[in-house]
Amino acid sequence: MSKKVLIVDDSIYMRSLIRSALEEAGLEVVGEAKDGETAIDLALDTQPDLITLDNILPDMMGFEILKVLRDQGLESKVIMISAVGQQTVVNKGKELGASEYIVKPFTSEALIEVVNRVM
Amino acid sequence: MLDKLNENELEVASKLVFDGLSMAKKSMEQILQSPISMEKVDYSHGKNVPLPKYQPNDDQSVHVIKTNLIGELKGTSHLIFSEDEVAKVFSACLPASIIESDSAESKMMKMGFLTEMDNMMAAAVITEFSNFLGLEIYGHVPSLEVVKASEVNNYLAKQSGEFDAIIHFKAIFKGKELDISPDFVWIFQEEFVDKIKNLV
Repeated sequence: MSKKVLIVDDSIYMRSLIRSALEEAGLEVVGEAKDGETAIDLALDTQPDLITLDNILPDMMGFEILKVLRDQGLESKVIMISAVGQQTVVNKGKELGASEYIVKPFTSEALIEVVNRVM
Repeated sequence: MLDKLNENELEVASKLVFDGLSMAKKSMEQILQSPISMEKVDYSHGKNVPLPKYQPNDDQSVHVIKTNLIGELKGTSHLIFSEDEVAKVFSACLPASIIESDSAESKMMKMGFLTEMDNMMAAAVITEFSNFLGLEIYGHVPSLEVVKASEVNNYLAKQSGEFDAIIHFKAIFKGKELDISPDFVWIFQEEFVDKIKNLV
């Protein structure tokens, strides 16, 4: 059975890019969210194996979403994907429970390599 | 407000933006999967410095992508592309199926690509400021507005209203598939000047 993934990013372009890469790698995308509130609802509803999580969303930061999901007991693997690449931010993401933090831009190959390492 | 900086301090502020743009160049190379060069061609600072490229009688459309800074320092960045440059960016970066389509989804993808490009470029410069100043600052979700070229300077003047310091950069990004010279306009609050002064 293919692994289930939820994509969280405010950009339709980025969601489309990530979806193509993941589907090509044989993963099942169970949902897309462009804001934090939708992301939390979808994550709790679909219980994905993996969440790709942008850190800057219109209504909240990825960090906050991650914290809410962990507080709710969701154990999905999380890969943060963001243009924000300061080392302190990357470290904070990992401290909050993200398995990896990818700084944009990235190639599809690099994303899949990280996904395979995390799953 | 930037007039408060002495030559040395101004040099530092300018270098931070330029170093950030050099990182932005690397981001563009990754997007294009092809090497490009970057050359700074114009630099100005101060308040109400009009951008010479945008004349009052120019009817061309201009894409202004704005990113608000969030965190410990307030300000906004603007990445400004002419119509011609937008077409060049699309042609170099997007598949023909999207460029040639007029569907609502294709339009959203095109605009989404531009804002994502700005997101990465602004983040590169913000990272330079953040690391140098030791402050937690990020770029928020970018927004895009299409305005007439003749209105760009009024638009920027309005945007700078609540802030104090403006840095304008123009750079040429040139590669096999791309040749554009967008404008970058950074507007900061006075605290930015104080932080630079304290550190230089």
